[in-house]
Amino acid sequence: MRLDGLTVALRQRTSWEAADLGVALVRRHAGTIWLSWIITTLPVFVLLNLGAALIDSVWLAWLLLWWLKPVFDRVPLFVLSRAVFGAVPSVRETLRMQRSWGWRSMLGWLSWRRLHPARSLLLPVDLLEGLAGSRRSERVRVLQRAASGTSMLTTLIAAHMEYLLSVGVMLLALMFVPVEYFSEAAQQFWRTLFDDPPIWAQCLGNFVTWLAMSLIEPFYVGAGFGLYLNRRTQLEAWDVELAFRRIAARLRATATALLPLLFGMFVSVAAVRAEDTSTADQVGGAAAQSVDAIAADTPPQSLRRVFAGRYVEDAGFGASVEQAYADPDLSPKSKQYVWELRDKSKKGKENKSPEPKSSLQLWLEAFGRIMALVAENALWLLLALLIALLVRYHRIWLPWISERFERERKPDALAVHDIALPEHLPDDLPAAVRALWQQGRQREALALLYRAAVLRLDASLGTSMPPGATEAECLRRSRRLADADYAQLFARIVRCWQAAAYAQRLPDARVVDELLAAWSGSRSASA
Amino acid sequence: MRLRAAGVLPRAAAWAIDFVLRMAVIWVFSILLVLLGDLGLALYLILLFALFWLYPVLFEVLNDGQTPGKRALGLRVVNANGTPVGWVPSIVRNLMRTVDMLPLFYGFGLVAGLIDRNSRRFGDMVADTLVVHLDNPHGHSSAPDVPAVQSPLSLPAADQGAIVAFAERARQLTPERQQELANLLQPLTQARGAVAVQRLLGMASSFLGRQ
Repeated sequence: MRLDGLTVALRQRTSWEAADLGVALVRRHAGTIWLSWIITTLPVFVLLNLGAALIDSVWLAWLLLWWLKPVFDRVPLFVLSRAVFGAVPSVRETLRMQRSWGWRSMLGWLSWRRLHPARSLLLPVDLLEGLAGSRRSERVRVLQRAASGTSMLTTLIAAHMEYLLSVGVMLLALMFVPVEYFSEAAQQFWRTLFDDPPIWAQCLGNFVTWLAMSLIEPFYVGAGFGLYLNRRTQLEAWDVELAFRRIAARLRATATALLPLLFGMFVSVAAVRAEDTSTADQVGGAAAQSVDAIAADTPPQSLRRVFAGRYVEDAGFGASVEQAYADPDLSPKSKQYVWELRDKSKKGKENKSPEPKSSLQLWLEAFGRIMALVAENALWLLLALLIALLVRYHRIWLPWISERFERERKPDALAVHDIALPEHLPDDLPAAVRALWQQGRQREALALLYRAAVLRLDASLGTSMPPGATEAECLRRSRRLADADYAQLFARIVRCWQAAAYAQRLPDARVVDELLAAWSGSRSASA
Repeated sequence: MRLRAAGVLPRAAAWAIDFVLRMAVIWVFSILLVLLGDLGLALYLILLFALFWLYPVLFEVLNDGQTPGKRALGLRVVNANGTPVGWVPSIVRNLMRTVDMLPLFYGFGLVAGLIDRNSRRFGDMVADTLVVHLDNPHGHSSAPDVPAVQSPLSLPAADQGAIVAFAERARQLTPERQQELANLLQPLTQARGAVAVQRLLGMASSFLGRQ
């Protein structure tokens, strides 16, 4: 393949641009393509329709014509593939080549690949590269990696264009019917073409389909070829190769004598760069100084300095400079109208002339100022009061605020007290309770006391509490006690326990001592 | 300035996207407007009119020549001389859709676009506008960041561009192809094979102004 012969400008293109390139190529070689196309397809079309009409199933001709598209696709593809390398084939050559060219892959394209959505992209692989087997599938995979989306969309769009065009051609006939005959004509039209079409109408329909196909199909093949070309260009950097060949050719022509020198330069480049960095500061400093000097010069001085002794004052030059600056092209002036906010205060001040003030006026002004001060501060106070009240009563006035905040507030961490209750009550209960209390396990101490009290209640009543009985139930039951002292003590113990268990209010050590003393007392009394 | 006229295929795709977008809007609004009775019908008709006649004009003039569909496909409407499209050309080219859409789904416009060298439909011809591909925004160079190598010769900008293009696309090429290409420039690199590739990449770095 000789890339030098390419007739298209290769560069990086998007997929859609590449498809457009293919379409443009088809347009460029339209004469050859369509002449060959018509000569190839029209006889096939006529033969198919004749044959189908003989067996009275004209639709078959339509189907076969559609099915044979890949065979016809070879015509535009042949022309394009030769033309793109500068060798535009003649119609005769194209037709001759149709007999032998590209039939090998047609079996696949007419059977299992007939509905391939990227047909126009992949046809060139088979027809131009002639690959087969695993090499073909590898090639197809690489080509499709970046171009299959556009290729499939191209197929979709081209198919729609074709069908809409064929319907459009039929509707075009209706467009020329005068309005007064339109409905009648439309009915007739429908009956003839779609309802119960005679054979000639069916053939006409096929002909319209062939027309639409003939218009669109070469463009479709061209778009696919453009995509293929672009993908190859991407993969193999054809454009870079062309540019490199051009550069190399020029270098060979001009720089043969310089070649030995060049090689030396490569070696010395590194050394030069090292020097560069060391001298850069000095050079930069000098350059900065000279820039400062130039900026300080006014134009006439700088001219004198540049031309040294040879400077001649030229009035004509000055005048022409003035003239050049005056040129409206150099310093264009334009009028702009913009809206501006009117400044009312300025205008008012200008109009009013200050008048001398009487003493009454001055006094009134002072009074007014004091009143204003008082009123202002009163308003501020009012605002502060309002805010304070709001803060105080927001729960009542603005319940939604507290709801908001309370919902956001996390619940208190659940205090889990793992109270290991002994299986049996200790013999010396007050001592055990006191011991627990002094260890700092006050809750457990009270729990033990409460438990002992409940058990004692059970014992004295001769019943047993149901499991899960609440403190209130225990209290209610304690009223049945004959021993009024113990009932009172029990009530006190329960209250103590409840306060500790549910409100986390521990009783004083003194109160506990009293309770324990009372417990021991009543115990000894009952025993 | 080069304008790269867009052909019928991307334009059809862009139109399809716009069409689907507008249909979606109509669908949503028709559900809402049917609740308003006769007033809803009136609003619906106004919406239809706006979507089919104002939508392209407003987008083209106010959105830099791009409807959403054209933006998706990287297309832009410009005047034939490349300047941004204004109100009058945009209105003209969109009013001319009445001609282009005959006899069915832009049949005339399609045939005109296929025949015309710049793929213009009748509306574009009358309004003297073009639909062009956007220039790819050339931002950060994807050339590999290797230490710069000074070129022994000063090359014209086009040649520098070719070497930078080689560096930017080196990753997409197989190593064999990279060397094959670099060998072409032996007069410049004084080397062959992998060394030549490295020197070219270094030169690309220096052309890009890297250290």
